[in-house]
Amino acid sequence: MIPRRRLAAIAVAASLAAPVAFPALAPALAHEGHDHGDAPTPVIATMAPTMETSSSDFELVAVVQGKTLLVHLDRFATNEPVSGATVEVSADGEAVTAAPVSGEEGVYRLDAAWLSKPGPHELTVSVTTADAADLLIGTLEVPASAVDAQPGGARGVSGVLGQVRYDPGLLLGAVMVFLLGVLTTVALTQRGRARTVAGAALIGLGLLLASGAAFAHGGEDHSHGDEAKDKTPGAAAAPTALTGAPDSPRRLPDGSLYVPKPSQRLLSVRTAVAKPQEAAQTVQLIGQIVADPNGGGNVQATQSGRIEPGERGLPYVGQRVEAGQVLAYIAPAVNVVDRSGIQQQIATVEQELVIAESRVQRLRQLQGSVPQRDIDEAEANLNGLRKRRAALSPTLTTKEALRAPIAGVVTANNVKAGQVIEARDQVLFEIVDPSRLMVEAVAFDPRVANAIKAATATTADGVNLSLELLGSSLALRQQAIPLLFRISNSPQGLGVGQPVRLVAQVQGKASGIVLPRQSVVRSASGQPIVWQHEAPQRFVARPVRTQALDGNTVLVLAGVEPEARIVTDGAGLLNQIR
Amino acid sequence: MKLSTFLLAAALFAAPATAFAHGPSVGPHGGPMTDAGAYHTELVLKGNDVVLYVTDGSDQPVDVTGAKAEATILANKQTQKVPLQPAGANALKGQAALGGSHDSVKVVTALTMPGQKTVQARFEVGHAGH
Repeated sequence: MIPRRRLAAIAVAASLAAPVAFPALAPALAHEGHDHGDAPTPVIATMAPTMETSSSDFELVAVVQGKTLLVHLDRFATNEPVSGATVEVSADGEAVTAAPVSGEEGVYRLDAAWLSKPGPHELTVSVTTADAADLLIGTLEVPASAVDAQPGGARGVSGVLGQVRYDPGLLLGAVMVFLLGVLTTVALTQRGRARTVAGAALIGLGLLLASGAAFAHGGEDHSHGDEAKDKTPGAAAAPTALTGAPDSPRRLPDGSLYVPKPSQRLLSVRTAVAKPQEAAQTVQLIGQIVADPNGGGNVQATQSGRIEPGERGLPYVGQRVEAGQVLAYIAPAVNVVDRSGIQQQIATVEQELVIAESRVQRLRQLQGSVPQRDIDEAEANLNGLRKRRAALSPTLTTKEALRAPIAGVVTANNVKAGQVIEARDQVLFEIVDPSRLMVEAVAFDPRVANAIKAATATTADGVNLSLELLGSSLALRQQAIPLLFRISNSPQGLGVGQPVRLVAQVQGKASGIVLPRQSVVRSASGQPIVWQHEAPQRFVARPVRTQALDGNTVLVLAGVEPEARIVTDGAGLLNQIR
Repeated sequence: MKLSTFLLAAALFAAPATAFAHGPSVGPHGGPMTDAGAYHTELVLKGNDVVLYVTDGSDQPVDVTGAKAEATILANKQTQKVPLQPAGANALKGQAALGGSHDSVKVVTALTMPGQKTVQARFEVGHAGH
């Protein structure tokens, strides 16, 4: 029985809460024959009386602070603050031009007499900027309590109750809903005097609430508001608690966010209007940076010998070298047998040379008496011997210069001065041209490999590379097809072997909404979502299905309606609001 | 019994949740139509004539005898206020200086029906709206 009684109490409390918590929805009861089709939007309880309005150009939020009206003006599509606008607010036949608040972008303030008059005020706001002019309208409810309140404009349950009391339509709605709640209570409790008494007590409390007499004294602050909460279970059960902290960003019970304009400015929330577009379909691949065969070089020795530094010493890793620059010398290593053989040959040649020289001299002295043929033969012999000596003599002393084959940066140095190396068996230096790097990726699906047209890649530190397909291998490597891409915009700081994530465009089109990558964030359950700017101070999470377009943008395939305003900057920060 | 009481409670919540609908539509006189309080209003600009037609929630004409209205017109970055007088049936008429051009003219009307509060409506003429 006890749970049942509790249920009855909750039913009454909730029905009491409904008109209080949703005061702006209550007039729907008073509307006659008016057909409206949209879903209801939850009304956000704010501490200060607020008016929100928007047009196709501007979005405007006006907040009453004491006797001052603060007007926040933003662009409708982008949510950028509008500075330097002329803002004129007309209400009750009085037009006042708002002055810009210094130090804050897109905030204007004005003081007007009608702000201290309780009740609804029909506002017409004329906005003129350099490029646009607009008229905006809205209704600003100044509750009775806000007028009496100290500057700062505290408005609690009493404010809403005052409003309910002020508006006959609201009061009628509240009483009707309350009576229905009473019926529920009676039905639930059925028999039993005690329960009837309890029901009567609830009715009494409800009547007090409806008349607003209990809490009609204005100028309450929060400690009082909390007391009121204790007395009225209805207010405590209200989903949008009216007695919360001062206007701060918060998550509403339906999962949407209430973000006041000052907070939006602080987080610099920007939006973009969703436009459906056709975009190429994409696949994601994993790759790594490799050196271009024409932009990378190895330095090897053609003979064994001892390393000797060049004029500028041995190159360091990371050093930039020019094409043809001498990196090191190799003093050839000649073994003892070879050396003695060479020395013997040199000795033989030199011996023959002495004989040949004396013969030539002798024959020249006898010129005219010996045949010219003998003189020529002797001279040719002498020249041949000189050349043989010239060819033999440096073999023991000449060093081989190791030159850089291309200009670039030394990426490996495997030698030290004096080291003895064998011919051809080791790479002494590796040089890479950093402006000519490539990306090698592997595709496991041959259809993908054949369909790829262009790609972009992102490194682990977020650098974006635009890639151009050079070709794919015909030979599989570990059941995958290697693909080679040229980097068109080679940025600084890339390293050979660095892993990259590729987004490759394949043939075929997908239609959706293109958004920057940072628009898509993860909800608490890990679902990808975007934040839609639905009302000036309200953001709604939209679960989306996305496909990467390139390193910076994603294509939203489902979940976003065209013309919706989607948060592009500050989505991550909005996502943190609890 | 229990079920029916809960249904009743559910109905209590559903009752106030009637929605607000907006969005430009074209009225029978070819002008943009929008809500103004409990009424539907249609604005037509013809030359320098400004005509406001008033209908009720189910688009039936409403007699505007004794009603008052004022139009704030923003055209060519100039704002002007034009009083509208009842002109038979459900129309209120006034004269404005529009210069013949009706491209992206924004109009705000404040309509006061006899014995009721002033209600405002906003129109964009020569513009698809948003």
